[in-house]
Order: sequence, then C-alpha cells, then structure tokens
Amino acid sequence: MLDREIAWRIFASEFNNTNIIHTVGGEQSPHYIITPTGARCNRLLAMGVITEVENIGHETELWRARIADPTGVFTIYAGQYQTFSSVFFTGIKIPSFLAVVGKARIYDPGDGRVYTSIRPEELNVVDEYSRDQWILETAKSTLKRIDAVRLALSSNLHERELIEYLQSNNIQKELAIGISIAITQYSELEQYLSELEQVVCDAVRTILVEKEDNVEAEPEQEEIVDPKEYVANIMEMLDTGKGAQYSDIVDAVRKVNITTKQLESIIKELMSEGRCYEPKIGMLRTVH
Amino acid sequence: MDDIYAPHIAEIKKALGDSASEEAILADLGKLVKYRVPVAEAKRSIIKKYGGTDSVKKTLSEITAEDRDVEITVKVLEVTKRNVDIRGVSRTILTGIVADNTAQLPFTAWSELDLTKGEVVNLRGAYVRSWQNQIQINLGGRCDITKQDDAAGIEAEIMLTKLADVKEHANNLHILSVVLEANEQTVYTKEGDKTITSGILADDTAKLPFTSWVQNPNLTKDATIYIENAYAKVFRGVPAININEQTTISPSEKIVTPVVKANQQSVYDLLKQEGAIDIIIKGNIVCVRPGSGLIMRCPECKRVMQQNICRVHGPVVPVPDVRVKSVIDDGTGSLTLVLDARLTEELLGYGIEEAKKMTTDAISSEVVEGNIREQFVGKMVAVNGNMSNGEYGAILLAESAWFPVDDLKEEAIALLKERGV
Repeated sequence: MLDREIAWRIFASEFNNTNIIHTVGGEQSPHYIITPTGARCNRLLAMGVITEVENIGHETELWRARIADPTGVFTIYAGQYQTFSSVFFTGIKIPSFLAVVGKARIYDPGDGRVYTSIRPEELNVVDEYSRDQWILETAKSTLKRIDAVRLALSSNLHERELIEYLQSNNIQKELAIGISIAITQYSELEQYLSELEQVVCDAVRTILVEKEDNVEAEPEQEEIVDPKEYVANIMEMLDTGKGAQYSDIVDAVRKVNITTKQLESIIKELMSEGRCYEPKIGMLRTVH
Repeated sequence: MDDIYAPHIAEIKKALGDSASEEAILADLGKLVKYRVPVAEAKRSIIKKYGGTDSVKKTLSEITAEDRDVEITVKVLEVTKRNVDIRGVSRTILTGIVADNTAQLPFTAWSELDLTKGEVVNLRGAYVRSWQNQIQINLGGRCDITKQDDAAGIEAEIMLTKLADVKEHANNLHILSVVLEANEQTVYTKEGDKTITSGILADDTAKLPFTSWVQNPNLTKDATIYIENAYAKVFRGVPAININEQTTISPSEKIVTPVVKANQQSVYDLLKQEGAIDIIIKGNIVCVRPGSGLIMRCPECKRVMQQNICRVHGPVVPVPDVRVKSVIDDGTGSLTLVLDARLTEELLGYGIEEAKKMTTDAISSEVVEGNIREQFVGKMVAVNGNMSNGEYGAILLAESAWFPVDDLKEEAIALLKERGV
C-alpha cells in the first residue's frame, strides 16, 4: 500500500524561501519541494489569518487567498478542480483563522524569481488556540530540522553516507533525504539557518503577547509626514515594469497606518493631478 | 599451471576432504579450463562429481538473504515440532533457533531432522530465505547433519525479544515480561471446550495481548515471568503472544519496569510496529473521509450498507450508527483514525439520535459528515487506542480521544529557554 504523504509543518517564511523542486521517477510520481531545512515536502498543514481572497479566474474559477502566519504569508491557489474551495471562500469572513491542508507548489516563470503556493485539499475555519498550537508545533519541528541540517553540515558527509549518518542520529528517513539535497542546493545555508532560527523564536514570542497588545504591537509604526508623497513613492517602488498591483499597495501602506479609504482618496488625488494612471484594472503606474 | 590453480585446488580439496586425489582434481580442472569453462563453474562441477556439496562455509553473521547453499556450525538453542498444512498435506516440521559465536537466527526444517536442543551440529546444504523481513535458515531434504562432540565451542544463549520488536508469525520467542492482566475463559474448539487464559503482557518497550492455550500457574496478574518458546500470531490487527504445550513459563527474579500507562509515541515510531495496544498519539486531523457521519449497518453482520441492502444478507432493516473516519497526522507520519458513536458524541457533541434528526431536517444524508468536517479538520486531537498496521494501511481504533488543552504560553517560554533566547 502506498503511504500517504506527511503533512509537514513549515512557516510561511521558510516556505517562501524554497526554490527546489524534486521529482523522483516518472510522470506519475509525486512532486516534492525541498525547503532550506530539508523538508522533502509534498503536502503541508498551515494555519494563519486569511487577509485577502479573490476570484482571479476568467472563464473558469481561480481563487487566490493570502494566509498570514507570524513569519510571512502563504499564497493559496484553488482552481476548478478544488470545487469545495469556491463554496468555502465565498462565505469566508476576513480576517479569520484558517487551517489549510494542501499540496506544495512552485511556479518558476523563468525570470529568476520563484513563487511558492499551496493548492488546498482541505480548508477549515479554526480558533485562535488551534492557530497558536500550530505555531508552537511548527516552531518545534522547524528547530528540529535546523539542528538536523547543522548536524549534516558539520559531518562533512554527503549523499548516501550522510543519509545513513542522519538516520543513525534518530532523524527520520524522509528528512535525511531532504537534507542531503538541501545542503548541496542552497548556498550560504548556515547564515540562513541562524536567520530562520531568529524568525522562529519571534514567532513563538507572539504566543506570549496578550491579545490586546497584539493588535497594537504588531506593525511597527512609522511617522509619515506626507501621506500623498509616501503613496506615490510606494507606487513607483512596486512598479516592476507594468505598473504596481493595487493590492500590493494596500499591503504596503497598512504598515504606516494609512487606511484603505484614505489610500483611495490619495490615489484619486494623484490621478486628478496627472501624476498616476491606471493602465489596467487593479494596476497603477506613476507618470514621470 | 599448478601455480595458477593452486588456490582453487586447495579450495576444492577442502570441500571434498580425502575423497579425491590432487592429481585427479588437477586433471579435471585442466580439462574444463581447456574447454573455456569459467573457473567458478569448473570448481562447482568438480565438487559435485566427487560427491561433495558446494556449500560455502559461513558464520551466521555473514549470512545474507541471497545465500543459496551454506555450511554452518551452530548450536541448537531451541527446537519445536510443529504440524502444518502444506498444500493440503499435513506435515511435521521443526522450527527453532540456532546460534554460533557471531549471531543467532531462526530456522525451519521441512522434515523431522535429527536435531536436539543444546547440541552443536555442522549443517551442510542449508539455504536462506527472507521471510517477513527476517533472515531464516532453511533445512531441506538435501541437508547433511554432522553432530559435533565438542559442545563447548559455542557459547550462546537465546536472546530475549522485546515486545515492541515482536513481528507477526515470529516463532520461538523468549520474552521477559510482567503480566498486567490475566483472565480465564472457556472457548469452544474443534476438540471440545477448552479453558484458556488471555490477558496483557508488558515489558519496558510495549504492551501486547497474550493467549495461553494451556493453563499455567505462573500466569497470574503482576507476576514477572520468563517465557520460553512462545509464538506470535496476529489477532485483531495486533501481534498476540501465543503460549502452548511447547512453551515453558518460569517466574523471574529480574526487575522489569512495565509500561503501565499508555505510551505517547510519534506516528513515525508507531508505524515501525505491526500493531500495538494502548498507545497515545497527538496530531492534527488533516482529512475527514467519506463514509463518516450517519451510516446504516446490517443488523446481522454490522457491515455498512447502502439503500437498505446488505451485500451478504440482502434487504434488511438497517441499524443506524455514527462514526468518524479521518486521517490524523503529527508531522512525522499519518494513519487512519476511526471514532465510534460513543467517541463521536463525546468529542463532537451529537449521538445517533441527533444525527438522525439533523439528516431528516436537512433532507440530506451528507449533512452530518459536513458538520464533522467543519468541527474536526485542522484540530489537534490526542487519541488513546489500539493500532493495527496491515494490508489496509495503519488504522488507529480509538478507545478514548480528547482535544488537548495545554498551557501554550508555558510551553512557548520553555521552548525559548531551551534555545537560550
């Protein structure tokens, strides 16, 4: 009997830093991603706060949702074959706590950037306690993986020898295989591991923060002197050639306490001044 | 020419003893080589010609599952007669354990060979099979047995098997354990009513059920016992220790700390076993399977059925039942988790009657399943129960289940402290 793939616990930060696809065997065999800590992952369990959901499909449905954990944001894409998700996303309240079980996907448009996303198999609303449990479990297993990769790096072993060595140190075979690939493919891994360890510890600290403070403490507030100039700058910064996504601008200004309403009136102002235009719905460009 | 073939001739002579002269061997070998027969094949053929077996001398630790013909010198640590049906014919075979100074292995002799417990024998023409992932020595009709007088050469005692390592169909098990439970009951067998003792054994690795087909005064609750020559058989998905006439049980003075409380394990560790009783796992529900919720069972055979027709008993009046079939995953592995009606009610708050009402009110047979999915998917659950790991995959039948409520802040502080931040 074929074993079911493990649902890995991975933080958004590590997931989004993943850029290796690993496939063994023919077309029918499963696709894996190899995360920097060696999780050889086909399926994952993620929990977080849903911040955005949108049907971006044209003829067929294609839902995109963003789910934030304390370290970053998971992108969810659900298409016509995930019929349950359109029912689910239509009725979802934003923000709310979500659990998603799904397949790890990597999209490589070939321009040097790599996009990770989750194709959901299960979606459900959970409570805050479950989310905090997930943060703790994910922290524990991420730290375990970090330690395992460090062990691998210090052993100076490779491939088969390394896998055997790791297994003899009580490391699961799946992870041992993943680590043997990760250490050859990711550069400056040691540096990344310390950064990730910091990110994980910060995530664990969010459990300690009281709920009331949480809302205040979360975004680092910056003093904005001129909101209009700030938005214009953001727009230019986010422009990758075809303009800036409206939704990205919303995300960017949220940090500096500009509400969506304020943002809209600022954009209107900029447009009427002839300083920006909308080449396509949802896209904005500044005029030079 | 002599020089090149000298090592091969020495080898042939070793295999044949004094039954052929060196000149004859050399002549034969020369002839075969002239015909361009590979040396290995030539050697084989010559040994056969002079009546030798081409067994390779090996120690038990050198034996691999690929060995077809070996010669070993071993001490018989245990030997048991067993009646088996081979293609409808009843035969007496021997099973047991042999050892040399390097290792010990189980063996099966396919006829009643002259083997006695405690003696040292030289076995030629033995072959090796891997059965249930365990290397086994097989002794067939071609096997030559030479008794060795000098029994002192091999110092070996049967190794104890830990309960967590007991595999399906293991024979000649020696176990040191504590009897946690022992109950006598009468069962009906082909030979008439029989009183058997069943219960639970535990050592420091696991708990397993046992069945004794004979009565034994040492099988009492809380006794620490040394069991020699038991065998394992899968019963309800879990390997059970079986005790029969061939088994010896003696009280032991050794101190065994049994796992009394249920053992919390990772799914990864749990799945290494073929079955286990009374274990705890903690994980998230990652899937609720179709066939959960309100189901209809045949009153005769309890099979789940559709449209009031049982596969075996035809049209019947169905008995409603509630269950959850789900997948639990702790990040190290996953298995199927089944909750019965009692646990579904305890955990999710509704029993068979409410489920029936919900179904009628919604005029949908899937409403209960949908409800379970909403309440359950993503949740962390702790489960206590028995695991069986057979051809249908690993299944955990829950005895009890609960949503763990831990102080997450305390755990978070402990984790940060552990990392020195």
